[in-house]
Amino acid sequence: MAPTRSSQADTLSTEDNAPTALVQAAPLAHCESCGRFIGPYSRCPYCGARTTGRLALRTVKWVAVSLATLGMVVLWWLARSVEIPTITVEEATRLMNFGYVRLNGRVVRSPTYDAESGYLGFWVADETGEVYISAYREVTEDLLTQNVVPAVGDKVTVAGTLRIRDDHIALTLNVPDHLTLERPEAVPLQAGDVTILDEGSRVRLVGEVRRVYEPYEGLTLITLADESGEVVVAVDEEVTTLTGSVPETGVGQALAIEGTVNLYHDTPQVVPASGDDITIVATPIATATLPALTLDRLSADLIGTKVGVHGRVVWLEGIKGGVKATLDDGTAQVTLLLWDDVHRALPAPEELDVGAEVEVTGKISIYEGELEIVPSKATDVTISVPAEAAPWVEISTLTPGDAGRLIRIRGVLGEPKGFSAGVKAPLDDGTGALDLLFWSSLYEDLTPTPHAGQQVEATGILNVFRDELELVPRSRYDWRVRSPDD
Amino acid sequence: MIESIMWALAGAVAASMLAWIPALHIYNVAALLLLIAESGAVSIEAESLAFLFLGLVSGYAMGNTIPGIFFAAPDESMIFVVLPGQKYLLQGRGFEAVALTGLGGVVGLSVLVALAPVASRTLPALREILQPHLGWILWTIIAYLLLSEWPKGTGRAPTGWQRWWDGWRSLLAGLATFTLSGLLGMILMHRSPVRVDVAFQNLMPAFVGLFAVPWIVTNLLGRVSVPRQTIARSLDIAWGDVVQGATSGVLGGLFAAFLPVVTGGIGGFVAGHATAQRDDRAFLVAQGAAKIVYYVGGLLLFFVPGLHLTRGGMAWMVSTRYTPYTPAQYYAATAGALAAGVLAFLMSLWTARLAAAVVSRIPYRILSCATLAILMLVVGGVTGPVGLAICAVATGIGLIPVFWGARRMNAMGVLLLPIALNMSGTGHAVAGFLGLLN
Repeated sequence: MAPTRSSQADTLSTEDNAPTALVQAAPLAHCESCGRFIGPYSRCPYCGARTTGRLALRTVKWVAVSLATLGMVVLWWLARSVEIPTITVEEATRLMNFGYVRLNGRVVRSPTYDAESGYLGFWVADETGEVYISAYREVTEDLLTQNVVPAVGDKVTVAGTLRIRDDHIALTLNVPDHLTLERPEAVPLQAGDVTILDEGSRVRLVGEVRRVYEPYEGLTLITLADESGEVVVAVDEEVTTLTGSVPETGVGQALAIEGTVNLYHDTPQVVPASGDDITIVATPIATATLPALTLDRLSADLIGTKVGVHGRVVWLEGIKGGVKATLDDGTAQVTLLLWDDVHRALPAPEELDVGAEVEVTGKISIYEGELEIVPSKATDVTISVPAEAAPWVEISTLTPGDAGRLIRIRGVLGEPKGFSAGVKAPLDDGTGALDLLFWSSLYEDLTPTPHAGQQVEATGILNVFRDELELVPRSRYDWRVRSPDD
Repeated sequence: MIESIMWALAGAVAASMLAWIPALHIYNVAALLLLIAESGAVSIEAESLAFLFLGLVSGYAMGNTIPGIFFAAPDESMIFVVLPGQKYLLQGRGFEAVALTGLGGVVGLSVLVALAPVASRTLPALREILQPHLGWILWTIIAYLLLSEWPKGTGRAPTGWQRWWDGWRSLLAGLATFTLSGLLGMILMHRSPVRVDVAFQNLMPAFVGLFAVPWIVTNLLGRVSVPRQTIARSLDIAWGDVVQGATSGVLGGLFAAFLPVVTGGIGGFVAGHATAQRDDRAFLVAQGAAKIVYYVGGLLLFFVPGLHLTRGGMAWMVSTRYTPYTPAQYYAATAGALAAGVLAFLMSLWTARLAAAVVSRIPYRILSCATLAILMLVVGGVTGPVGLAICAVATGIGLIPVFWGARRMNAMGVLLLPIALNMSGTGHAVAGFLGLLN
């Protein structure tokens, strides 16, 4: 009997691609009855006997297709019924990499947003740690459309794919609906009553703008004052990009602000969640009149509190972004910190120097263990006795022993030369020469820009560097280019 | 540096031994080591662990040829090697197939070393260029995989429908395999029923089911018996074929290492077509080169200064504990990979002799049953009953191309489809449609 095509199809061995094409004859390839080679046939073509022990290929095919289709349906049903596991940050181990998990926490830092790539990122913390949440363009666009923009202080439930790299735990938000935000109701509070204990609370403040300061591009700090004191409101550019702009603000303007209390170096500040959280108020705001304190009564307990003091300036030095004076009232000494915007807004900034007597209203803060008083606007500083200008000196009279003295010299400037942290220019007064040293931040601020041949007057602290004398001006007011009329 | 290379060599030795165990993917071994390191039971420097893993992956990329050819238990990068490999095995030339694949691997390693001086300058730029285009590149690869199947059949069936079925069954099987494996991938990536505390092994049951188990089932059903193996003293290949095979393999391996989701097998396959490769011997060399460039090159991309590309499971695992920064670390890693790869090649020649002796003496049916048992132990042990269920479904899908004559590589839909959908921004819409986002 000739083998038929259908009997071939019943057993496995001649399918395309099957590796058995070159198989050596196995015992079951021979007829159990007549012993002849019958290959894959289920019925012997010579004696007609049916072989036993061979599995019908059709059965295996049905099992495979059933597993692939019905099994898939069961798996799909099982997957749909699986709850996304909720974990804490601490529980996220490296073995969970790529797991889909849910976390509950609170947004602890302002979101970052890249408009070009559509990338949104923010930090969420629970009691056990912090995790970085990120979303890519499509998800971010959906979030913005739904006006779901996380802000500091928001309670968050977020689900996504865990990515653990080094010690960095991140969660990728894949589905916009898997981010839910709950923004607490704002509690009315006075500016002076905001303390570190309020961290994480959402508050509502009404006050007058004392100062608007931009420490770096992208962050605006608004000092808001009411009759109880002051507090800084930090407005991140990302917040305005994501949620809309804030009203134009200026010193003296009355504002109502809602935001979450956050800590910056242990100092509480208020962070609005959106541009809508800042509104202009028409009613004038009463601000505090503060009693003057002697310097010995200042202590760390007053950090964040606004106080009034008076004293004599016994030292002044330049720092990046401002000047730092040492005040002495006979009872103690304290640092008076004047940021550039306050210093420049003084009626006569050059009068605030060693020897000047001043009355100052400002907030107490601490930096590297030292108390500072920080006025927020120029009107907080009154110079009751102006400083006398430092005496002229001739360069030839100076010795290394004069290092640390405040002196004033005049002469002709040589060619300025840059170095890693600033610019040096030689100054010759006819009796001798020394270098003027301008730190970068100050050099960029000088008008007119120093160049060779200028006749200049310079005040500063005398310094010795590698046995050479140099004069270090402290602010733009220590530098003057003489005009022909002088 | 010497200490780091010693760690890499230790990894290569361990991987060469472990590669014997069918379907025990080196990523699972690395994960186990990671687990031990995490528990604090063993204290090991992060850099030492990274080099150990580099050695493991180098050794595995060489050594996984043994189970792929002798026990027909391939991973996703060996899938193309099994068929020509089994041809060799059934001709008593399994050792030669291992040697040819290993030869390709050594050439691949040499190219990786040669590329090291220019990698830090060219690869970051190349990434910048390719990054926005990865979505459509992946779709192109998918289209190529599906379209490069062609109608088969003799056209001599009695009815029109039967002739149509003869011709089109392999294409339909390919499409069905790709779609079903893609759906499986969507489920596993969006709402996996696997326990979250072993989520990093989420896809392992699917890979074992799609690629390894179907071969074993085929061998069991086909009652394969393996002839006595010959240990050849020379290789039946000309240098020209080595160059052609290695060139296409390296191209494919680089393609796979640089692009997400694309494995060495797919890369080598596409490059083989691009270079008009026909010869089985050159094909084995190409696949050897492709998989070593894919596995080792993929991990080395993580060390390239300024790039830090995490491609492949090993790079992800290394990145959880270690971040390289300097060119010196990259060069040390390249040296470590070369040393480990060469050592693993020499060891694979030795282990191939051993494997040849084993398959000649022990009935292949018993070996296949043992392999299947090991696979199930690994899957069940790591991911539990749910993992075994996933493996069963994946096996059903993996058997479709076996029974209906389509390419098994269509099962790579498990990764290709979800990732391509995600990259084109529609993944979540599809997952939402499937009800996986509730």
